[in-house]
Amino acid sequence: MLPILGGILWTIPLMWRQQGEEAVSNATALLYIFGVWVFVIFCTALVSRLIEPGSDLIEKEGGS
Amino acid sequence: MLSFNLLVVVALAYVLLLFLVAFMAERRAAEGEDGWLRSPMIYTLSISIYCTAWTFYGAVGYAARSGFEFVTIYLGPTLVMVGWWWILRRLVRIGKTQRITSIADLISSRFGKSTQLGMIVTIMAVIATTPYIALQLQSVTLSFAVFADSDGSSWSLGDLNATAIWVAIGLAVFTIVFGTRNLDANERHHGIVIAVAVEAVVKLVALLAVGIFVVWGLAGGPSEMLAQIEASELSTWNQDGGRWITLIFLSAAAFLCLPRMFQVLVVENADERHLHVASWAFPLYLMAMSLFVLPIAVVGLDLLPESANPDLFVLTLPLSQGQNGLAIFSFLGGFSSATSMVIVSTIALATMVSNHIVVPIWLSSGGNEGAMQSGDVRRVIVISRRLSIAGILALGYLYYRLSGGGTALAAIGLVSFSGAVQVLPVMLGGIFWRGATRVGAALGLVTGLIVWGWTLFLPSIGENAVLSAAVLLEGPCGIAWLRPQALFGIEGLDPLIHGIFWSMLFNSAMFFLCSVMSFPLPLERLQGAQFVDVFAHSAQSRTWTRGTADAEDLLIMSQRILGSTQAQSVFQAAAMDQGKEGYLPDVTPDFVERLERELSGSVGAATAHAMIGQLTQGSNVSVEDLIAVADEAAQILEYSNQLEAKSAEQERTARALREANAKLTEVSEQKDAFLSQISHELRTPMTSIRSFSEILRETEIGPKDRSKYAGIIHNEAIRLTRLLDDLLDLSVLENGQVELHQQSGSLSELIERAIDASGVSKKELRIIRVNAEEDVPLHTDLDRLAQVFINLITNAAKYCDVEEPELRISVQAIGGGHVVDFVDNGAGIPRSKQAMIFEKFTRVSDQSTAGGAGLGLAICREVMSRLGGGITYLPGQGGAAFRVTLPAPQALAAQ
Amino acid sequence: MGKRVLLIEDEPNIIEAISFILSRDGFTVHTHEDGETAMEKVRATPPDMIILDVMLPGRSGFDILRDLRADPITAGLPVLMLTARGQTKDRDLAERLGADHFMTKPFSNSEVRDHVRAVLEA
Repeated sequence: MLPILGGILWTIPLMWRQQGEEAVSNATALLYIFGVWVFVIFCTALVSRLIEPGSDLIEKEGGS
Repeated sequence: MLSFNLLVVVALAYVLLLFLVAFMAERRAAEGEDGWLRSPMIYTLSISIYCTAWTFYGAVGYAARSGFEFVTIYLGPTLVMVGWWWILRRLVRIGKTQRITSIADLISSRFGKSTQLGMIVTIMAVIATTPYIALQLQSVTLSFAVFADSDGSSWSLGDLNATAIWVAIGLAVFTIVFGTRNLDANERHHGIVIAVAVEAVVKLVALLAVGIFVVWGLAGGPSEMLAQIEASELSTWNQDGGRWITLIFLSAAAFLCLPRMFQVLVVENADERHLHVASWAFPLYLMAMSLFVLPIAVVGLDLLPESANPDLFVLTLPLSQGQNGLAIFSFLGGFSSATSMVIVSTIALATMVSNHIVVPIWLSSGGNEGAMQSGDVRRVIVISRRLSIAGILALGYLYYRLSGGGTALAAIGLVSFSGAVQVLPVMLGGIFWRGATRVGAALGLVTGLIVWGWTLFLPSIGENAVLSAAVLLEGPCGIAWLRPQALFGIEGLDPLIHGIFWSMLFNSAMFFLCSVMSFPLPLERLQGAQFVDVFAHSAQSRTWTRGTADAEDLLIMSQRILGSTQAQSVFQAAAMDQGKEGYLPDVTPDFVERLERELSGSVGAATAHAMIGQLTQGSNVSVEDLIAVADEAAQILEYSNQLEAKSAEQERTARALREANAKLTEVSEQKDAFLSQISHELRTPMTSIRSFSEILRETEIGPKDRSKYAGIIHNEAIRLTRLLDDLLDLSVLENGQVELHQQSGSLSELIERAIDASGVSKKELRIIRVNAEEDVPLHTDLDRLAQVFINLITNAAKYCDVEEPELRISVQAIGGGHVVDFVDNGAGIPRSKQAMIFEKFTRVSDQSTAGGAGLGLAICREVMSRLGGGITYLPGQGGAAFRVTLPAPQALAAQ
Repeated sequence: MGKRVLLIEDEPNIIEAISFILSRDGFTVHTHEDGETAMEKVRATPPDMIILDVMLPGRSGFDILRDLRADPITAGLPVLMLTARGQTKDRDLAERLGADHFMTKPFSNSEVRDHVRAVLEA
């Protein structure tokens, strides 16, 4: 579900107003996009850690 | 100003360093210390070849032109990595179980090991990657030119082309040296991987350094930087939603489909668990790479003259500020990005070209019927792989020249990406949808390729290069709805979105419709089931029923591909699993399956299947197998898998018992025959002795005959003595009463000594000593070992029945020990006798005239087992071949 | 020209010894070393008597004997079997197959000579 969440968060900027006085500045966009990025990376790292102990499900493929 | 020559020196030194690093890594790996080479961090760094020169230079240019759009190229892969559990894990698992060598192999293997599909994907990959390689050459060349300009000398076009060609040649050499060492693409290229990892670090650090310099050095800190972004012309968020989403999709798809990404993600993956780390580490890498792109672009636009190429801001910014060291470092970063991408791409493509184009053609053109010798196919593959590497780089250079080096970096990259993703529908369909068929896949791919070529690739080469401006504007022959950038009259779309939309639409539609309408072959069904349910049952389904192939033929074929050492070890291991000794296992479906996977690691699934098919002939898929496939219920499959495992176990036990029983019976018959054998061996010489002594006593005969008859008596008496000696020797050895006299010496001297002592003249037998690995120190009973060697040499002299008998003695290091092979060029020993030759009184030819009592090999075997080594018959070598395994050094040290 | 004895035996020294003994006694001795082609040799130059070794390359002496007895032309030929194995079951088999006489190696020269004389000069 992380890729879907990330995908949605990263398409939100498209709905921002693009013209006129209230247009969102790129500096804000920079902070937003990289903010989401850090968040997604953090979540993935967390999930990977959680999966790790149960990784005996993934049997080790010996060099067959 | 910076001296241009200094730059060249630095670049060369860097290349030298890479060679050294790669060489050391190969060295360490060869010594078995490759633990650190297999760490998840190295894996993550090697994935970073996603970031090419396009990222390093192009992203800034992209940002300067289109603002935030550049970031989509990194968001796509981030989403794929974050969602690794769904697609990547599946791909890696399939890659491992099926020993996939490339993306073409994946597709060909999934759709019934089809040769044609492999070719199509390979051709697509070559076409799609060529612009990308050209792009890398261009960026390296341009970056050189920047320094040349700053040095005061302006470059002409000729200089640029010369640089490009030298870079291409250098890359070809590096790739050939480190990329074609192992034939088995499944084995990792340690040298390359480590070099790529080093380059990944260099490019990241270089880009970060420039970014930090820009933000803190030029802008004065993060908050000032943000303010400057606000103030710049890139200030407002202004994105086209269609492009934004299309590009995220495109980069995500390309991340999976690019041949080089497939190579590092799947083929070079050492352990599935590395994905856990890479899933967050690689997005982090991507984020770090893109963090400073926008600041650099903004500051570059601000400080540099209007005419400056934004693609080169990363270089020109530090240069304009007089930061020469930083500029050089940044140059190395760009150089790293370009070279690592080209190296991995060419390896991936060369593997595909050699496995899916060259080898099938070579096989069908009758190369297979030529001289059958160990490793000849291997040689063809290695040569074709080397030529492919050179050829692919040449193509890249050609494209560079054709396109005039003009187009913006980002645009070329996107065209290349969209070509590679034409494989996506077929790849995803192949691993998630059982209904996908070969016909659908082929048509989908070809359709996608045509639409892509027409709408994106050909226009990208430049107006008037291939397509004239008129065609672009009015369509071919004035057919308006075929205009490359406005198919069906739909105008106003961005050319990229337009091309991707139509190509993916036609591609997927053809793939889906034709798959639904066509009927899969049995083999496709089997492979489909295995790919789609790779986690449910990783056990192999069987695509071979009990074959008609002879184990020895299979061994000969495998030796041609894998080389003799590896092939023999595969066969020996298989025989051992079946509870048999020696090198020839029973040809069971399991074994053929296993062998095929082994071979496909070297030559790809389709070729391996075809080669084995030649030998097993038509015994392909049985009704039972089809029923098993048709049966969708996982439980039943599970149950039958268990049963199969049990019956396989029973079969193995039964086979071992049968073998043991046969041996016992044979041995007891032999025991029974033993007395009568001894009787025969003793009585025969005695008959002559008695007869001639009677003749001498009774008759008056001339002195000439007299001495002749006395000679016969004498010889026969010696023969009798020798026989008794042998018998005693053997019985002492068998009872374990023998005393060993440990001595130290060298193997090469011992072989020399054995050849002398055997008394075989050059005319009787030409002895060829094959390689220089004979320099092995020995500590064992040298006299006994020499006895074995002498026996083998005299045997060859006696039994090798050709015009010019030859004996090859070669020493090899295998698995920590050494073996000495004695191979003659005679008729060899027939299969039926191979199991018995080490038994007492077994003669292969029935000729007692050859003088032996059939005890020699029995003694050899006893001696070798006393010494802690062994002796076996080595089938499939052309003539009779014996392998003496020398006692392991550790065992000796302990004695 | 004496009577013809065909000696089928693969040990060169024994061939030499027997040839010597019998030639000296006035017989013509032909020799043949290979079991496989022995029957062709017999048919090509029919001898008056055959001395047949049991252990031959290609085919055993017993097989040849069986063929000899099966062929009406050679069924009546006197056959002396020689063997170095010295087991009674060999002797039994030879007699059952119709050998006229059976000798175990090593034989004495006079034994062979006397037997051949007895058969051919009777």
